[in-house]
Amino acid sequence: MSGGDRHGDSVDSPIENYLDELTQLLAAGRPRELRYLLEETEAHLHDAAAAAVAGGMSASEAEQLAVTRLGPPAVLARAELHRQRPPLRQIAYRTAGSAFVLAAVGSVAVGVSGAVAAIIRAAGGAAAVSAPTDSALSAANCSRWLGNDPGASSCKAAATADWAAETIFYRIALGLVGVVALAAFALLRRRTRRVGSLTLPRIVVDTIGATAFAVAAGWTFALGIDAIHVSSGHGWGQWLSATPVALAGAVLFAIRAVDDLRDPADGPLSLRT
Amino acid sequence: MKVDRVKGHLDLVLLGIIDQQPGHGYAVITALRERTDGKLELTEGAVYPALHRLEDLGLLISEWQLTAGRRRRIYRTTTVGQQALRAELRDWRALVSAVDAVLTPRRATAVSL
Repeated sequence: MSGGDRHGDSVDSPIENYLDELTQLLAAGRPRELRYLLEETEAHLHDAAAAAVAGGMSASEAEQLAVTRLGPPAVLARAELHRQRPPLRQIAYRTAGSAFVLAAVGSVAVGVSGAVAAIIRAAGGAAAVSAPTDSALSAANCSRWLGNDPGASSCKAAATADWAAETIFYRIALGLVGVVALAAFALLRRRTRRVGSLTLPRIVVDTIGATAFAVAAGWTFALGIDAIHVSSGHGWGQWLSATPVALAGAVLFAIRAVDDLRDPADGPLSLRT
Repeated sequence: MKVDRVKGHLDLVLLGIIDQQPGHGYAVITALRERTDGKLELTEGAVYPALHRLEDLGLLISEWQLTAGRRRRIYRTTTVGQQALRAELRDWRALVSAVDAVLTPRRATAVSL
């Protein structure tokens, strides 16, 4: 089809330009609603132009009149997108879903930091992971700690070993809970069959994740350095075991966020899915 | 009549026109213009989001039909839409009656002492 003499196919056709602009403005909307509105609008504009031509107007003037009477595409698009806004209840659900995912990922990271802390304990001893306390230790507790660790040189050493073991155990346990939570979420998302409908837009989640992990990395690093200087090197491992894990999490989320920005098709900014 | 005044009653007007004659958006706008002899003005683009909103509310229902080689989205009122239209009409007539009663000058009443 050459289309050279068809006004609707020419570059400067007011109707084609109008529809192009409307398509761009409605890109954030629901795809089906976009297709329907474009089809309705196109039919409307051609009907209006045909009526004007029948009234004696030139094709060009008729198209311009049809476009003018329909109003600016921005106004039409704004009204249509306003109508498509998701209800607050849906936003609340998706915010809760995002918080759940981020908490689960954070729990997994804590679990990994527990494994790192175990390595630090193996290399540097329990005091590297748990700082011995200077406060008085009760006889009952000492008896329990020494009972669990008969080879300990003192109650203080036994307490330090017990606290280090607890730190590692609870972190790894939390990590396992995080893994289970993520698996449950993945299953739920598969059942809903609507990717992204359970969480906020990916770029929002990734940005929050990158920020939270970066803050955690900085915070635990500062506490680790503080422990080295203030606590004579005791207990630094409980903080610095988390720093590299948090840093890795921040980098991974940041890479995803940049990817979202570079390829909006993978990371829609819109809530309208 | 100013566009803003029409917008305030757009839902009622659209329901009224479509209830009498189901049709597509352009036909609704044309009917509005012809029946009011051009006295009611509105930005035509405002009609489509309004039609879609009324459909979201269950007052209208639409279906696609092929007419003159082009697909058209034909709107018609639902039972709920017809009930809503009757209720809106009652309210509208009551409002017009009340405003008219205020604005129409009364005959002066003689006061006897």
